[in-house]
Order: sequence, then C-alpha cells, then structure tokens
Amino acid sequence: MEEINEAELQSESIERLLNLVELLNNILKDEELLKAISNLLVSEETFLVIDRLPQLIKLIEKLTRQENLEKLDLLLGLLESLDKEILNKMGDSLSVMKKKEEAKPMSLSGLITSLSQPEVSKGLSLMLNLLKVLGS
Amino acid sequence: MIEKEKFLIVGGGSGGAILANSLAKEFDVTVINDSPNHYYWPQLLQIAFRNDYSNLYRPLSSLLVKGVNLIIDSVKKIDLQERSITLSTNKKLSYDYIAIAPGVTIDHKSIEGNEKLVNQFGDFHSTPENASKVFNIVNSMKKGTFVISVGDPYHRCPPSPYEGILLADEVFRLRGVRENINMVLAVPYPRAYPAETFNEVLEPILKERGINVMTFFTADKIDTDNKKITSLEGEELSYDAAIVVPVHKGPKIEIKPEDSVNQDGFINADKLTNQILSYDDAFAIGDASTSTNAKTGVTAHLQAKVVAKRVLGLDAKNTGRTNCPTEIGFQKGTFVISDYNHPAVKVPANTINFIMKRLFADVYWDVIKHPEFWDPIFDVYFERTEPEVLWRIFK
Repeated sequence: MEEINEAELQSESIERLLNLVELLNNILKDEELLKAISNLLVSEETFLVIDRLPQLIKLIEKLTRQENLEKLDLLLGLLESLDKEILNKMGDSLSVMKKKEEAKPMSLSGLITSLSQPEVSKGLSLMLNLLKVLGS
Repeated sequence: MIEKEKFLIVGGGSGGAILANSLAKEFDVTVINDSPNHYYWPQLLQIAFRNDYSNLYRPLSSLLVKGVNLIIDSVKKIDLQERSITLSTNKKLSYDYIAIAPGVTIDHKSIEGNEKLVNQFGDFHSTPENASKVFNIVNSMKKGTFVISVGDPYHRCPPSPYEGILLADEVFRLRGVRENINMVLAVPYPRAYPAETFNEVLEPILKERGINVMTFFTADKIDTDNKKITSLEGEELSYDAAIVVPVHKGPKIEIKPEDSVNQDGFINADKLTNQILSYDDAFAIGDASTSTNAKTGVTAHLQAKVVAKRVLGLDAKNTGRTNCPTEIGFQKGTFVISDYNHPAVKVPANTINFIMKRLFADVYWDVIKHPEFWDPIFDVYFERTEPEVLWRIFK
C-alpha cells in the first residue's frame, strides 16, 4: 500500500514538473512578450546604468548607512513640506546669485530705499525668522 | 467511508474548471461540457490581429485534477426544484450542489444583416474562424473606412472593442497603409469607454492614434449591399470593412423554475454570492449569470473561488473586482480594474502592463489546473492591487 502511495506521489510530482515546463515553454514561445521585455531592458539608459554600476553600488552603500538613512528621511520630510511655489521662488533667487558680476555696490540711501519695497521687506522678514530658528 | 456529496458543474470554462479543481478533495465533482476542449476566448483577439493560435484551447481533461469526473455532452434541462439535470442523450443526473457556468450564446441574428457581415469580415467574439477573417481583412485592406461597432453593451470582455481598433491601427501602421484608412470606433456609450474614469486614460490614446469615436451608436441594422450600419439611435455609418460586436445571450438550456432566468436567458444570480434565487445549493458563475460586473475570465475565476468557499461553510462574498489586462498595440498595455465600490482606476498604458498582460495569458492554463499553487499568489496580487489602493496611486 505504501509503495503504491509512493508511486502515486512520484507520478504527481512528475506531472507537476511537466506542467511547469509547459508553463515555461508558453512564456518562452511568446514572441510579443519577449520583444517587450527586450525593448524594455535593451536601451541606452540601461547601458549607461550598467556602465555606472560600480559607482551606483558604492552610492547605495553610502546612502543605506543607518546615519544617512535617518538624514535622508529628514530631508525627504523637508521636501514633502515644501510646496511647488516656494521651490520655484528658491530657484529664482538662486538664478539671481548667478548674476553677481552684474550687481552694483549699493549706497546706504539705496539700501534704505530698497527696504521700503514690499518684496524686500517680506523677504527680509522671512530671513529674520529663519535666522531666529537657526539661532534658537 | 463517508460518501462525498455530488457537485455538478455545467460548463468547463475558467469558472467551472477552477471550481471543479478547488473542490475535488471535498466533493464528488462532475463537470459537464459540450466540447472536449477548454477555450481561452481572449485568444480570439490574438488570432484576429496577430494570427496567433497558440493559446486558443487545451483538452479539458488535461486541465482537471485527478478525481474530477468529466462528461462531454450538452445539458438540455436543469430543474432546481428536483435537483436534477437532463443531458442531450436524455440521461438524468441528480446532485447535492450545482454550479451553472456554460458561458454565453453568441446571437448574430439579433442584428439584421450581421450574419452576412460576419461572413465577409468576421469578428473576435464568436469563433476562431471568424477571428481569422478579421486577420485577413486587416492584412489586405489598403484604403477606405474601417469600423468597429458594438451591438450589445453587455458583451464579453468590455475592453475588447477599443483593444480591437487599437490593434487594427497597429497592423495598418506596420503595413504602411494607415494614412489611407479612416478608423471609427462606434459605441453605445456617451464616450469611448463606458466607465468615465478609465475613459480619461483611453480617449487621449485614441486621439493620438487618429481614431474617430462615434458615441450613442448601438448597431441595429446592417445593409451589406450599400455598406451602411444603422444604429438604434437612428444614425448611419458607412464602411468599407466593419466588425460588429454581436449580441450575447444566456445559455440555451431550459432552466426550471422559469424565473431563474431573465428574458435574454441569463441566470438570475445574487451579485455577492452567485446563489440562484433562494436555492442555497445552486449557483451561476461567469458570463451566464446576471451578475453586474464584467463578463471576463478573471471575474468567473473570482466568483468560482467565492462559491468554493461558501459551499465549504465560509461566508465569502464577491467584491465585484474586475481585472481586465488589455493591449493597445506597440507593446503597451493597461488594466481595467474596479469593484462594486470603486470605478475603474486610471491605470496608465505602458510596457510593464503589457508584459503583465502577456504573462497572465501565458500562465492561464497552469492557473486553471493548479489553484493550490496560484491561489496564494493571486490572493496577494488582488489584495495589493485593490482599487482603493490603486486609486491612491493613479489619481
């Protein structure tokens, strides 16, 4: 009786194996599927990633150190708290810094005049608030 | 030795076969099917536009697990009160439980002129021979107007009309004749796809591919001599080649009591449990039931799992989940995913979804035969891709 059961189990296992071979064969015969996978994987971007793989692995190793993960988490939190408008304004202000050669020295009276401009006054208030938080 | 209860399953399609294999250990299961083969109906689209017959059918006997009995015959009559069925040979069988899952009957005659039209241009909802006619036409047409129209909004595989027109567009483009062909998708709905949310994914694709959409157009009459389709709404549409999605009706089986079927022959089943009326030993699953979610293999599969759990004493219920993987040509695909509480998610069309779609088709036969292997995988898949979850991703 035990021998029969054993034989049955073996026959079922072989049948399952054959079914899995058929399944694999179905996948390997699917030209459309293979074309799509090839097109997805064989691309200029994939070649670049493969070329830079050693640097990427080093970068991942650095990024996944516990202390860096915590910092990244904080940075991501900061990023999530920013809205698009503020990010755009930050971008604009950085582009102004690029034009430092064009900037002219400002006299004391020019400074006082500028302070009365609402956008300068608003920006100054923001900077003061930021300085207060940093100094606290 | 305790005698097992008799479970009859009428129809060995995806719902019937999965149910049989899921209950083979607990019940004395018999499947009755009118063909020795199990057909994978989505393959009709692959025949129509790619001439690919590879996944069309397998012998049903090779898909049923050991212990499931198989009778190749058609069922004439089912009496739910008597708990019996009558085969075409007049042989009577009794049961303790029954699941009716014979699929739909395609009725070309319901639309005047559609039989003639199908003889000319074929379709991708009835037979491989008709799908093959579609392949011949899309591969020989050089100019003119190519139309895909819908004659029955409750047809099998809801995405198939747009899938058909987009795959035809791919063929015409690859053949270099697309600019000489005007393509029209004529549908009964107020938009290209009935679900407004998914339509937001589909319409830009149709627009980009230069496909004209005609809405509120339910094909009613076809004049093959003058090459015109008239809609129920009174509009006319001229064509040089046309495919009309035919009217679908319930199975040609006499089912007693009479109120267990509706006027089109679909079986009145509860949308949550698939139970037929008050008969707690009788269920209708898949395309043949009146269940309000889509007529697809995945729906039948999920309904079969619910019925299997219920007869084993668990309080399982359908969520109305749909999961229709579709191709739009050029190695891109998308999914129509919804449930009773969530409209179709706006799943974008991309190559990954195309790969998923092809993999679903390639593993189909193994899924039918080995529910014990695939159930845990699909449980995770269906849980992780619940419409509520996907709606948070694809807003």
